[in-house]
Amino acid sequence: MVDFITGPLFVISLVIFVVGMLARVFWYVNGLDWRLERVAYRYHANRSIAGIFASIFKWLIPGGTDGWRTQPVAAVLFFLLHFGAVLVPFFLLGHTVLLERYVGITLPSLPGTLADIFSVMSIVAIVLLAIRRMISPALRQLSNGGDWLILLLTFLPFATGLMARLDMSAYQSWMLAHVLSGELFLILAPFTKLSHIVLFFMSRAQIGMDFAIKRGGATRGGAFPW
Amino acid sequence: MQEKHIGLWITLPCLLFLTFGLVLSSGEAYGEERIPFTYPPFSAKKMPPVFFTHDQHIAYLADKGQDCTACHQMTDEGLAESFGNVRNVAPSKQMDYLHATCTECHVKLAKGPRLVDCRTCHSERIASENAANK
Repeated sequence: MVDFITGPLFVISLVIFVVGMLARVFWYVNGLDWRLERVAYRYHANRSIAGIFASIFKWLIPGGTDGWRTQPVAAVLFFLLHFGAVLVPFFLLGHTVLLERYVGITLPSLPGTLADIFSVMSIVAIVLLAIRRMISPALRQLSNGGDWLILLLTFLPFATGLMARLDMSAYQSWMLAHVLSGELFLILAPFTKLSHIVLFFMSRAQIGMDFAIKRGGATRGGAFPW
Repeated sequence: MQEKHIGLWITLPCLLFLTFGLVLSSGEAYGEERIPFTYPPFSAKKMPPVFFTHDQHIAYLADKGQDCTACHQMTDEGLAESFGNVRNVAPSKQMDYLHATCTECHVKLAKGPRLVDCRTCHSERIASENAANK
């Protein structure tokens, strides 16, 4: 049971995640219009490539775009969550040891205290984002089950991982719950809004190209500062 | 005189009880002696050091008809104190070797912590208890 969950089930989850995400990327490109989008992007490669990087880069910086600046509280919470959500899965010492053993990739690891801080920050941000989703009238109108699902899917690996890390009691049960919740995240990611893990880059790239080519963005530093 | 006798009869059993209690609670009487991994001497203290249940492992292996050589190699100077083949592994690969060899056996026998169970072996509580006993 333990060995199935930490072995074959993990591989299956990872395959579903990778194949699913690649499929999302494929469908995104496939869904672009030939006449309105693809021809323009290809013909103006000198503008479109700069546009891609400008748009992605600016949205990855806190406060780098108008979108972030008009909602400072939400932006701070997004970044608090994503520091942990991106760095901890790859660079936590326990994860790098497993990666080295089973995949053969050696990554540097975060100092333990820093990983603890990132994880706690992420949990706090998830809880505050959930509260924001409950109290903001506009968000209440926009929210559906899928939005709550991805908050839960992200909360569970952090919560169970931190419970295990505290090492108080039932360590192995918390660890098993952590592995299972991580696998649930990987399996469901391509089918939920967690697909933004790749689609963020796709849509930023497309909007970056579009605005740089068609709307004068190239004259304003590669893309509109949005 | 009578009072002194009573005093002695109370203190003696109490002392005996206390000594016995201390000996028992030290764990050795229950075969719970924990041995630290001293080779290789890892310098980076990223996780609490491992103090593992040597006696439990001996008892388990004896049950399976195995002896010390299941984990310790026989060398010209006798039984090696270090674990397995770790002395012949490149320094940068020694930790990976220990992780792999310990947990592969646990997986094979469906018993004991797997590689995901970091803090079952690297326990802050057990490490501080054993470091204090030294």
